[in-house]
Amino acid sequence: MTPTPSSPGDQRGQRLAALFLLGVLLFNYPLLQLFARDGTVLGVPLLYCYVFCAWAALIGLMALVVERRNPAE
Amino acid sequence: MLTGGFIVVASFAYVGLLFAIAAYGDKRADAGRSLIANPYIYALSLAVYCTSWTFYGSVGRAASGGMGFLAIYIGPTLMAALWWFLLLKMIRISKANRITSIADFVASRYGKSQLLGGLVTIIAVIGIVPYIALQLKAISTSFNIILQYPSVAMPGKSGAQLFIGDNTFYIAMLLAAFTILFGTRHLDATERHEGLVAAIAFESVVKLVAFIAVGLFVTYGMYNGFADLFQRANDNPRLHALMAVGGDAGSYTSWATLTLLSMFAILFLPRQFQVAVVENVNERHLNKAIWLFPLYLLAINIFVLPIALGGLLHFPDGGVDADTFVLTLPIAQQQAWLALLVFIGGLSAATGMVIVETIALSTMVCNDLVMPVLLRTPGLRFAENRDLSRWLLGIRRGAIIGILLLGYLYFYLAGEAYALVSIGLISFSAVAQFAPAIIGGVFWKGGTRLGAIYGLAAGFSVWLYTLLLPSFAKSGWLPITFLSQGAWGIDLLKPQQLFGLQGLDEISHCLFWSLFVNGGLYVALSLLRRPDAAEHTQATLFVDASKQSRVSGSRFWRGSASVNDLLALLGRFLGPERAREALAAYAQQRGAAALEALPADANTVHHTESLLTGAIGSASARVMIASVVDEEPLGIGEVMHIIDEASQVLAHSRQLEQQSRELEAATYQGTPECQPASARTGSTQG
Repeated sequence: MTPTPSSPGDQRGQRLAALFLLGVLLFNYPLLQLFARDGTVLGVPLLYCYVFCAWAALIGLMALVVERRNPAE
Repeated sequence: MLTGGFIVVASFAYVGLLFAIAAYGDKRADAGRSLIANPYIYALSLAVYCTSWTFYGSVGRAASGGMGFLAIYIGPTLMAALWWFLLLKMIRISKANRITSIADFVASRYGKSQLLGGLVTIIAVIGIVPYIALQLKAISTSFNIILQYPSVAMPGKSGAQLFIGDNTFYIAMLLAAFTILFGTRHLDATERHEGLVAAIAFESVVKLVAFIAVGLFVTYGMYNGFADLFQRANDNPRLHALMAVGGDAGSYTSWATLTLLSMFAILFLPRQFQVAVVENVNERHLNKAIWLFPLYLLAINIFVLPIALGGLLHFPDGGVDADTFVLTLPIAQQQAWLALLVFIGGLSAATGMVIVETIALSTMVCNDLVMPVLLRTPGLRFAENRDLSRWLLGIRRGAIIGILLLGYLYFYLAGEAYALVSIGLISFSAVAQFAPAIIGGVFWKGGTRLGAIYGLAAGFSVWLYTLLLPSFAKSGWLPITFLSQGAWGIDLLKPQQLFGLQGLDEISHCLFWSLFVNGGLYVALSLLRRPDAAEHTQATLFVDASKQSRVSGSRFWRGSASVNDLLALLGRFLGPERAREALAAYAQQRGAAALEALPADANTVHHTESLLTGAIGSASARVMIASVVDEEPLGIGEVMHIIDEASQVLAHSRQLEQQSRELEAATYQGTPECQPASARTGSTQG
């Protein structure tokens, strides 16, 4: 299927590209630095907790994008 | 209980189980009920990415570099989001052109260039050798450690002689034997190994289960959960630093470099190309893999830092190598069964990598390096040989043994000086050199063979100089002054501070310079000269691969041939019977009554070439086809004309699609005058 601007496949691609950009921001310098300080969440260091939570959330969003049934399909 | 004999028997039993799974997978494939035709197996087979590096090395890395090790898994997660564009396209291109290796992919893109195929093969083999050495080191170390059970002792610096008397040599040769049995039992024109993929997916499950079992044991058995473990680590000033990315534990620059490096690795490592592209059964499986594979990476990493902290707390005097914590912690706690499970898990991680990687590399060595030379050496009259299919298998088997021997030699020469992860990063940096030629190649029609050849060669040379040679210098096989004073004592040529560039770690330093010259030459030389007809044809096939009306390769060909010649040619590489079957199936597909009734037109020649490409690679296939077919080369003008025509058809069909959609929309509105919207607005204005 040729991806035209309105086709469901292309919509999915755009969403995934946006998630990629989000991921690049989430896992790089300024944001990581924000969490690189003392403090714990339920006994787990802040940065460790942040990285894994953000990672899990990103995967969850990716799953949502590719698995969601598109009514147009 | 854990005597040497028992461990050896357990290891062989495990490998036997793998063979059983592979045999079952092959049997199901022959029966047409594929075992691997589902997205879960596909995602698990992609996890061949996790090797001993992940299983043993990550903990070692975390024990000195804190959270930095995670970048190697964040990168592939980010790339997975881009698979939708990049990997999907690579799969489609490879299926349409019967591409079976990354060397063939690059060679095919730039006008089926044998030179380029050979260059990519050499880079891949030399680049991957350290990575294979890493696996050998991990297996031999873990074997020597578990032998000491129940005491925890580091194997001393091996004073073993080269080859005979060195355990690692025997391990390397056993792995070669497994790989030959797994991968080269028969020759398949598509290079697909269903049974092997099933076994690899199983190995991925085993290594994940083993690693999580140790993680749970350390976190909840030896300590009271995450909070307790982190609390104790926090009280220790030395361990406190490991909770950060920046600061003492490594910089944000290294983090970003490793992320980028692993993004390239997940696409361009020969074994990843093999499982993700060549062994892909159905491109729809990619959908689930996009999130399942990152999920696997997340799961196998949750316990890395806890195990590293647990190990550092349990062995505070530093007498135990952190690369072995995964195994030494269960041993120190007298958990014999857990230790055995870990050993088997580590074996899974290492064997999976070695088997798939060497199969992928041996295909490349055979198709893109040895065959072109044999076919072109006039004195050999090799091309006139009647049955070459046995030769093909023989060359591949030889290549497998050769690659493992190289891995062993690297382990022997340089393996002791480095931790596991550092060895692996050397290989990742080599593979990253493929990025400009491949990413540029599938999105940019202007990239040319000249640019790709010089870019790759220059990037690879920089890699050799700034990473590989220094690894020999650090192990004492080159004078250490090479590192400290530069080649010939020239300060600016210090391999790890090239032209005075300081402040970067060695990997970032190499990646910057190598990609700078690689990408720079690729773009500059591509812009300097126009691509020739063959390059232009292939560029169009690759870049426009996802478009609906595919520009077929056979349109770019004109000439005459006979079906019998084609059949004879195919028979020499596939065996006469298989060749006949393949062409007969094609005749049926085209509606010809029998094989003899098949017209020897452009489509038939093109189909034969693609069958041959599966067996010997695109560049050699091109040469062989040209030897039996009278061809008239197309000029660049004609190629451009065909492409123009095709894109006009495409634009036209899009226009039609658009119009019919507008019409449909107008009808749905239910307005009394069922006119397209554009016509209506036009009339009110007029």
